[in-house]
Amino acid sequence: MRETVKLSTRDEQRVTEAYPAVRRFAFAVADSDVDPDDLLHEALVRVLSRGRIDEIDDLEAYLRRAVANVASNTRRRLGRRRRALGRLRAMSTREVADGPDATMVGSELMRLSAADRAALYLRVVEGRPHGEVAEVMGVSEEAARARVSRALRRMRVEMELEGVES
Amino acid sequence: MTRLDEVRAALSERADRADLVPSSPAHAYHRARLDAAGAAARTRERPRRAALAVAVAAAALVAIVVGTLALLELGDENGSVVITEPVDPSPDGAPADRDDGRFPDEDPDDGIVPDESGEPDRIEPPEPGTSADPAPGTETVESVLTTTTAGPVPPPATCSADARPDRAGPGDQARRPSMGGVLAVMSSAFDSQSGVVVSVVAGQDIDDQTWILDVCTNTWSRGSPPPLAVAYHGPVVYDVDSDLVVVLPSFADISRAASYDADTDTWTTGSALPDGALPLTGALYDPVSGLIVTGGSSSWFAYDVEVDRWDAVAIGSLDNGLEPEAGLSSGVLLAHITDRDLFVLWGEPMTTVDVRTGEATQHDVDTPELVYGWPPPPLVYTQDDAGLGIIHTLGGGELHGFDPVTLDWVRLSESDSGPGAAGTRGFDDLVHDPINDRIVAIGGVVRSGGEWTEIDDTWAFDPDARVWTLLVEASP
Repeated sequence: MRETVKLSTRDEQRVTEAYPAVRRFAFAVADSDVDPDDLLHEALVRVLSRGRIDEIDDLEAYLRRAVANVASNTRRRLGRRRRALGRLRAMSTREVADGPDATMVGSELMRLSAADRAALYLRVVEGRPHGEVAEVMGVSEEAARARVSRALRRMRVEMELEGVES
Repeated sequence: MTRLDEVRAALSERADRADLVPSSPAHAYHRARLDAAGAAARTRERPRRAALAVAVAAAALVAIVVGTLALLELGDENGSVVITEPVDPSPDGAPADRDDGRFPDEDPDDGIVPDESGEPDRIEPPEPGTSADPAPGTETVESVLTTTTAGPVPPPATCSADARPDRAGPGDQARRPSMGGVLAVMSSAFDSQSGVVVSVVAGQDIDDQTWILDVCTNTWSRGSPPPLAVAYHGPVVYDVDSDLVVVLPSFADISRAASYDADTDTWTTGSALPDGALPLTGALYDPVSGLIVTGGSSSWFAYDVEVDRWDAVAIGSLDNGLEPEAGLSSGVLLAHITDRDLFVLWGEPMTTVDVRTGEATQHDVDTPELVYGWPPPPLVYTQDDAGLGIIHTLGGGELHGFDPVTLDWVRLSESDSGPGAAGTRGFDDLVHDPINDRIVAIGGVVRSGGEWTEIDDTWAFDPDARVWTLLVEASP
């Protein structure tokens, strides 16, 4: 006789509902040499380690903030590994076919900080107002607006023409 | 397209990759919950260790005072002082550094031996009398891995004289395991006494499958389905002296061990992981104890499939876990270097572990980028009778080899040959076929023209000639 496995809890239900959108966010935010699922896992562990997640009103925003924070911390942590990989890249002239971020824009995005990518993703892909960007990023609305603006400038987007500043 | 559109498209493309990589929200939740529970347990442990450290320090001070007084008064009959070797003071027989009140990351003397030189030339064989012959006056921890001995190993199967294992199998055969394009995981092991590869495909929303590849005829066939308890399975490993393929659980509370007997095509369900165990990311058959050694990034166990018993393995110096940055491939228990009796724990830094003593050594190794690529590639270790071995990994269709003794990498095949020819490959599996001395690469998905497509071909790599041979063509 086959056994049944009980999986469902309220916490699990809330996490699994938020999971797909947060995972897409993690994929957009993660540096190219960081596994987005590892990033999301670490963020989930941190959130679940805090105890009762039923006290968190907007779990999806909370998880996104955890992902952005972990991504930023990971970026700082990975200096040694990046230097090693840089040496390997210098030794090999071959580029990986179909590899990630083969486009110029993709490469430029990867030079942004994880926090900048997170803010850009929320603003220009999901179309969230600066107030919601601020909530996810854990900063003031003014700071979120400035971050989006700075990231766009770094991506050489003509903001006045594109209308994303408003 | 405006510049903003380009940025939006590039960000969306990155996010869309989430849809290309199978992932189960429930699976992710439970994995995170268990890791969170483990972290909480370690946090609770910290004050206890600190208190214990104070007690040990006080006891040590008393012992020093008493000992000094005794030495002032006592000598042997010749008047000289007799000094004995210290004995592990911990009451439970655990290594002395386990309960010193400090976490390994707080103390450079934590049992993980850092690579001071930065570039070690090779892993040296153990000095005589280090682990097997402890110094006089010291006590060793009685690990199940030192008190258990492997049973006799029957000779491996061979192909018949008229078999042509180098020829492709029948074109009209049932194809090897299908992942179904859903949230499934394929894990394989080689049953050397039956001469078959056993592949288990299980996951969410599919009929769990057992597939058997006869490496003498290169023909796949289906076995009886695995029990539901392995739906969220962990590593799969062949237990040589028990002649069973063992599927280990991934999580303590939702999956159980199971074993498959290829001779009788029967599955037996075993027990769950001990409470509190973290997800297992790798497993090896230990030829010394005959047990399966398995673990994640922080907790290790020995599993005896014959009596369905788990025993914790004290790797004290690793109980703070490994650096988390190496991606999904990190912390995978991967290889046993026979002549050094060391286990290789994959990751960056790579770690070798003497499971008999618990000593771990980290090695700073520059790893090719593709090996830590996305998705994580499969890894397989091959070792000849002389104990010389290579860790093989198929990253993006390129086969790389890593010598865990000399710590050297070499690219063994280019991405446009063998399984790499169809496109960048992922979610495939590698198995060592010792009967034909080759590495078998099984299916997966390939990315070509920006699309991921499932592929059900099977290849073999000859490590001497460095040539790929197609064993089973992909479905038309």
